[in-house]
Formats: sequence, C-alpha cells, structure tokens
Amino acid sequence: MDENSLNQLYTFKSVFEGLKDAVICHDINYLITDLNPAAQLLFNSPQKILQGQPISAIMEKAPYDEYTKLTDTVFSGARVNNFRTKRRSGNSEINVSISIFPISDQHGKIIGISQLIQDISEEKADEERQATLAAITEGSEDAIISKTLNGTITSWNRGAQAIFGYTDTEAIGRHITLLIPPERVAEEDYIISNIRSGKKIEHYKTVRLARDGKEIPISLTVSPLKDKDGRIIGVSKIARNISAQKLADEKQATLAAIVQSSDDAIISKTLEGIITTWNRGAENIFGYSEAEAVGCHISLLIPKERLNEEERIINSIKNGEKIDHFQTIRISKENKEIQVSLTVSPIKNSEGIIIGASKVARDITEQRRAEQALENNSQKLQILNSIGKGISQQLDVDVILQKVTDATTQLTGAAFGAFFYNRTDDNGGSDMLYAVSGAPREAFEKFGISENTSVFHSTFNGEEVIRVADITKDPRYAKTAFPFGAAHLQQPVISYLAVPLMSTTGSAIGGLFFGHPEPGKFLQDHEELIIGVTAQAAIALDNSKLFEEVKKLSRRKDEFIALASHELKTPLTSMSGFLQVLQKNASEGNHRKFADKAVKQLNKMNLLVNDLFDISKVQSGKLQFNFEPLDAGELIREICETFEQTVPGHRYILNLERDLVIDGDKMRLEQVITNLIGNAVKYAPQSPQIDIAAESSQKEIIISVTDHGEGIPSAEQAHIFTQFYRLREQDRHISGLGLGLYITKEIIERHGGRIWVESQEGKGAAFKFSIPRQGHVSSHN
Amino acid sequence: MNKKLIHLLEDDIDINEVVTYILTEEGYEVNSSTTVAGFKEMISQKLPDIAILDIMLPDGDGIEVCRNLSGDEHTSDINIIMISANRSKNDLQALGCSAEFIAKPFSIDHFITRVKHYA
Repeated sequence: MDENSLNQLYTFKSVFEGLKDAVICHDINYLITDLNPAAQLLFNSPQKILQGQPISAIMEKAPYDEYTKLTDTVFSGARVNNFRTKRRSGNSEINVSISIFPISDQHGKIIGISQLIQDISEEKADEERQATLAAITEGSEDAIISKTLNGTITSWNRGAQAIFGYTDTEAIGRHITLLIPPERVAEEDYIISNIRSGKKIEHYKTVRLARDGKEIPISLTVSPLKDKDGRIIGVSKIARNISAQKLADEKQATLAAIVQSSDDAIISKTLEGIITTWNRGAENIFGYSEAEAVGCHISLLIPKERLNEEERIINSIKNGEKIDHFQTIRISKENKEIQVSLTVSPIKNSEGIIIGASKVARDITEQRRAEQALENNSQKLQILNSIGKGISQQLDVDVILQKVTDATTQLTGAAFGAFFYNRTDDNGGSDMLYAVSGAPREAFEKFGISENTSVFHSTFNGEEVIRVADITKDPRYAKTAFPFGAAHLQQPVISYLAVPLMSTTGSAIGGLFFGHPEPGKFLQDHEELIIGVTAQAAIALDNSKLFEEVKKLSRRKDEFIALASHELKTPLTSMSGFLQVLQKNASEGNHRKFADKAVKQLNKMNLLVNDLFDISKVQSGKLQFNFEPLDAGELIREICETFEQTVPGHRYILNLERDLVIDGDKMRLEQVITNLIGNAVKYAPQSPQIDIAAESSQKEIIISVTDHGEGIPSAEQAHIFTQFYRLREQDRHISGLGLGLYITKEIIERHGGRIWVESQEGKGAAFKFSIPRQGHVSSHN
Repeated sequence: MNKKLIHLLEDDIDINEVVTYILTEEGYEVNSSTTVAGFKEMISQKLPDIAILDIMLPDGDGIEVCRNLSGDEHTSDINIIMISANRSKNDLQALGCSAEFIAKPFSIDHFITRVKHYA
C-alpha cells in the first residue's frame, strides 16, 4: 500500500473511531470484522466485543432475527436507511435508527455488511414531546398562536380557528393585527415590549376581532419563545374566549346587585345554621350589620318560643324541600318583634348536594296591619249590617230607638248611651223621643222637652261628630255635653262621643250620645261605626214616620167612609120612606108610575152606595162575616121570588138539588146570588130565561146562574172579576160601578169557595161558584 | 083595644117623620126622640112595647142603649129593633146586641112586617 492509501486509511480510521454513531461491520458469515468505540458503548457488553465474534453473540434473538431479515435484503442489493427500531443497551432499551450498507470489494462483490446505529433516544423524545405539544395545541379549545417578534403569525391551532374563524392557511403568514380591533392596536406594542424584556403576560383581558367582524372578549397569556441560547425569537399567545365567563360574571354581578338592593332580607346559612351571607335588606330589617351577623347562628333572630321552627326548617331543607311564605315572628337587634314571611330554599353544590339554605324574609308588619284593618272593617260592616237588619223592618219608633241605643252603647263600650230624636209632623208640631241604655230614664227626664230643634244644632254646632277623650279638660263642651241631665247620672262623664242624627234636609234632628267615666275610651273606629249606624237609624226612623202617617191616613179614610156612608144613607132613607108612602097613596096613572120609577131609582142608588162602601171594606180587610148554617136552596128561592116581582119579563128556572145546607153568611150570600142574577138580567136582556141550578156533593155545593145572551169572550173572562171592570164600551148605559163581581168573588173566597165563568161568545154565560159544606177554609177575621 | 106603644130614637128629623107616619098609619102609637137623653126620659115615663133605635146619635150610641135596656130588668121585656145606615147585623152581634136589625134605607112593607112580628 502506498502512502496516500495509508493516509486515507488512517483518515477513515480516525473518522471511524470518532463517530458518535455506532458502526459495526461483519462478513458474510456474520463474524464481526470491525466495530468502533461508539459501538462498544452502545452494546455495552460486560466484555469487550472482539473481532471474529459472531454478531449474534452480542444480540438477542428477536433483534437478531429482525437484523438478518434486513441484511438479507441488503445482500440482494438493497440498502436499509434509517430503519427505526429498538436495541438493548446495557439494562435499557433504546430507540435506534439503523442503516445497513453492503461492503463491496473492488470487483463489486459483497464481502460484508456495515451497520450504522444511531441512538435516537433524544430525537425520539423530542419527537414525542413535539407530538404531545401538537396534540395539546390541537386539542385545546383556546387559541394557541405563535408569531415572530414582528408579529407575523407562524402557527395557528384548531382552537384559534374555532375562535377567530380563520383556517391555518389563511392565518399563517398574516400579521397579528388581523385580529386586533383598531382601537386596541397599541396593545400589541405593549405586549411585544414586555416580551422583549423577557416578561410574560398573564390573563390579560381584552377584545379581539373574529373573521366575521364580531368582537370576542378574550383572556391573553403571552410568553416569549426562546431558542437554544435563550434568545427571544418569537411569541406564543394563548387566547381564551371568555364570553361565557363574562356572561357568568355579569350574571353574578347582577345577582349580587339584586340581593343587595332588595328590601327583603336575603340570608344564607349552612345546614348547621351559621349565617354565611347577609344583605342590606337584612341589615335594615334586623338591625345587625354584615360584620355582626355573618358567622353567628341564625337563632340570633328567632324568639325563644319559636326556636323549634328552625329545626323544622332545616329538616325540610335537608329533604330538598322549599318553605314558602311561612308567616312567623323574628326579633331585631333592638329586641323588637317583626312579623315576617319566610321563604327558604336549599343551596346545592355542583354535585347537587345540599350544603346550606337561603332565606328570604319579608317584613310583613305593614301587610298584617292592613289585613287587620280590613278584618276590622269587615267586622264593622257585619255589625252595621246586623243592626241595620234589626231596625230596617221595624216600624215602631220606640223600638227602633231602643234597639239602636242598646246596640251602639255595647259596641262603643260606653258606660251609658242615649238616643234623642226630635220628631216633627207636617203641622209643625214636634215631640222629643228618646231611648237610654246603661242609665235610668229618669236621669234624662229633667231635660226640658223643648220643641226647639235648634238644641241639637247648638250641640253639634255644624260639626259632624264630637269625640273628646276628657270632657272636663275641654271648656267648649263642658256645658253642652250631655245637656240632658248629666247631673243625674251616677258616674261622671269623662270620655264623650256624640254623633248627630241628620234629617234628609241636612239639619240635626237628634243624636246619639255616649259617655264613660274613664278618659280616652272612644276611638276613631267607634266614631265611624256610630256614623254608619245613625245613617241607617235615620232611614228606619223616616220609614216609621211614614208608616205612622199612612196609618193615620188610613184611619182617617175609614172614619170618612163611615161618616160618608151614614150621611149618604140618611137622606136616602127619608126619601125612600116618603116615596114609598107616595107610591102607596098614588092612584093609577102617571102619579103611580112616577112614584114607582122614583122608588126604583132610589133602590139602585142605594145599591151603588152599598157597593162603594163594601169595596172600601174589602180593601181594608174589614168585610165582616157572620157564618151560620143556612139552606142555600131556600135562599135562592126567596131571591128569585123577589126578582119575579121586581124584574118581571124574565123566566127564572130553578133546578135545585135537595140537600143544600151549608155554613155561610146569609146576607153576603144573598148579595152574591142577587149580583149574579142581576147581572144576567142586565147584560142578557134578550135572554128568554135565566137558569139557576144548585148541585150538591159531600164536600161542597155548586150554584150556577146561566143566561142565554151574548156570552163573554175568553180573553175577557180573566178580567171580569177585577175591580172597576166593565165588559164592553156599549155597556156604558148599564148602570153600575163594575164592583159587583169583585165583591162577589171576595165573598165566595172568604167562604172558602171558588167562582168562575163558563162562556162562549154568542152562546150565553154560566157563572158558577162553590161553597164548602163544613166551615170555611180561609178565616180572614 | 089599646094601641101598641112604640118608642122611636132617631136623630134625623125627616126619617123620624116618615117612620112615625108609617107606624101611625098602621095603628101604632108612636113617641119619638132625637136624642138619647130624650129617649131615656120617655122610657122613665112610660114603657113601650117596642123600641126602635137608631145607632149613631148626637149624644150617645144606640147599641149602648140597647144593652142597657136588655140589662135592666125593668126594661128587658121591651122588644128592640135596631135601624142603621152603616152597620150590619154582624157588627151588632159582635158588639153584644142581639136585637132585630133593619138596614136603612128599608122597604116599608118589610119594616111593617117586622114590627108586627113583635107587637
């Protein structure tokens, strides 16, 4: 070998020896020919590896099999480059990269294998680290962006795409200001300057722009990227979309504001009852400040007798139940009782476990007061109503006065009460009526019953109500209070209440007066109550007055009727007498005829007057009846006889059954039958005959009077028994007041019977009535 | 034969006259008065067979006179006929007077018939 070749050899040897990577060569028989120090190190066998050893001696089976597979391919002319596998090195397995080359002689014949083994542990580790990092950045929901110090985007993860909308191809290479709202561009300088000085920026809250122009609230963490030598070569930014957080924050702030601004006390406590939060409302209602209340037990607020409520509340809360609008009492810092309405809800942690309770306590003192007032009012109304009922039906003035006085004296709790009422009549006369409760009437008799109503006027002097807690201390009233014999009352009048009774014309015509020996007994409530009562009393008294007047008028009317009856009948009587005498003494001819006519007319007139007075009696219920057994048959016969004599020209056909004895008033029944036959004669003058029949049964008798005249249309049949009813216009010429049937009906009904008509137009009319046999059903006396 | 005596108590002069006339024509002797006082005077002087009494009188009440007559044994035999314009037999009975009753105005025949019934 020449010198050059030798130098070349030494060079190769030097290189071979100095290589960091392990090189090991062997011949085609797998006997080691060369190996470098790196290989010795790598294989790390306890003994030095020697040339001529089979390579299998320093390798385990599996790797050796793998190796030989590879060398087979190399022997066929392939090369193995950067084959990654693992090899044992000492006690550990390391990641290696193997390259296998054929060693060829000058003829190109393969005479051996050269294996280059690179320890790629670090590389691998780096790779893994990279992969992990990549996975982290890709998997992160946050935007992870790296950029140069100049601001050019160099990496862009999926999170960045999700938040900002740009894909990595769109973003990488662009300037970071792509994302920055124009007004915030200065931030970038701030960030960069910090980074340059090696400082990190953490959780910097700001706003960035997305691809669609929307502003995204983000939290930025920016760190410098350093090279191997620690030089800052770029920036890594992590941007978290904090919109949700922002919303949560805002919600939190809103809730906090609500709790703080609420007038209600909002308190939270642990399940053991320790107060954990305390709002301003709680401060106002209970008086304790937040500092004083937080940490104390909730029983601080609970009255002793109600402590068991807390246990009940906690138990409900532990069961997950809410307590709604529980009305109770709590005590404030000043030991004052406060009426509250409590609503308590369980507080749950994120796992749903109940960890405490939240109480809302509303001060309902005002509400209760209003409810109480309403209750009072409704009670008052009930009292007024019952007093009102008691007197509204009363027409007796003394009863009204006494009832009202008694009720109001009791209601006001007065020791004594008096009701004075100055009653006037239309003639200007008046009398003073009064009722007393709780004191003898004599105490008030000394009061001069003056007809001067102005006494009340001066008492009240235009005021509505006089209510004095202590009359002895008020000179205004000392004189006029209880002006009616207060001196005779057994106890002094200290508390005084006077309510005027107002007439419809608005002047005081009386009043209710109450007194009590203790001061301050009468309150606003009493006043209002009594005012209500006097209004009702005024109405009742008015009614009683009207009733009295009506009674008086009715009496006067009755007296007038009696007088008029007497006055009318007196001349009728004498005229009747004289005419009858003349009638008897008159010779035949005109004198006789005229006398007859005059007598007839007088009789008619008499009947009319009778009707008039009967009607008045019927209306005032004063028609007197005298019931006795009578034979209706005999009565009918008598009446017909009279008619035959007085109204000849008609045939009166009788059809009477045998037994017609009944209980009745003879005079009145005579009136009835006479009326019916008289009507037949009047209204059916052309009727050839008038049939009068009487049937009898065990229960009753039925009498009918039938004519064969024009009949009565069915529309009129209901009306004919009413007062003043005249059938037809053309019957005006028939005298009569239209009272006969009305009175007849009354008489029949008083006998317990019924009366009706059966008629068809053109076919006459049959008037029928029934009278019960025994006694009479209705007794009207 | 003695005429039967009738005492009449009626305050209206005309009725008084026509009744007296009618009764006299029938053969009765008639004394009349327009007042209760006058009537009592007549009674004290002579007792009649029949007393015909009006009810509404200026100085008294015919019904009371009737009661007094029937209550007093001296006069309880006298037949009494009450005449009235505005009462009925029912009213009278209710007031304790159970005498004969004739309503004014009356038919002369009916009146005479009733009078004759008693005397």
